[in-house]
Amino acid sequence: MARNPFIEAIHQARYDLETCARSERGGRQRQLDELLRQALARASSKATPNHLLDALFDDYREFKRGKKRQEWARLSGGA
Amino acid sequence: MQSAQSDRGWGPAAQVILGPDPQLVLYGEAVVWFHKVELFRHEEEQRMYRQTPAPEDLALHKELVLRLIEDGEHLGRLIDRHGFLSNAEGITANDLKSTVDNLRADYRGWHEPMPAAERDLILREVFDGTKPVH
Repeated sequence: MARNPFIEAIHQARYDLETCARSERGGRQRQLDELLRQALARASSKATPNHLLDALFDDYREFKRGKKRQEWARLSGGA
Repeated sequence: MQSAQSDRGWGPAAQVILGPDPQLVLYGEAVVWFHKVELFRHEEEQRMYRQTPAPEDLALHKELVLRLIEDGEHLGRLIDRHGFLSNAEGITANDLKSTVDNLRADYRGWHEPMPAAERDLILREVFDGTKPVH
């Protein structure tokens, strides 16, 4: 199946929230909340934003691992 | 928020329990808490992402993230009551609460995973079958 750009955007927003400066957390949270709200509204889903986050967690973990691998490779000189 | 007038009425008790400047004390505690979260994230990366976590890693991760959530919630309640000192770094009470929410979501993901059937149902409903692939 094709990767969903909307899911990628939610993962990226979650990653940004986790890794941003302390003073940016509130703003990043609002961006993530808005993406979750849009995803649920488009599908007229009755699931809550937290349920959607939880449903995406396994995939997010792999997304984050991929991001970290890139970071580790950069830090070790592009291995 | 408690007024300075009522604090004065309680004299040394208020000073000892709340400190001479509760907002300043809370700001200091919040900075320490954020630092703990960053330390936790660093170790989490090493133990939970760079390798397959062992059962002991999962157990300690659970204990640490729960402690950070509890401490963050406690700080949030005190900040609601006393306010948060305006600071050069620009950290607000919302930033602290968002960090707690983020930790809660990670706690659920790692330690209270959604059953696969429920997960698949939600993902199908919301994303119409375009499955995440990583």
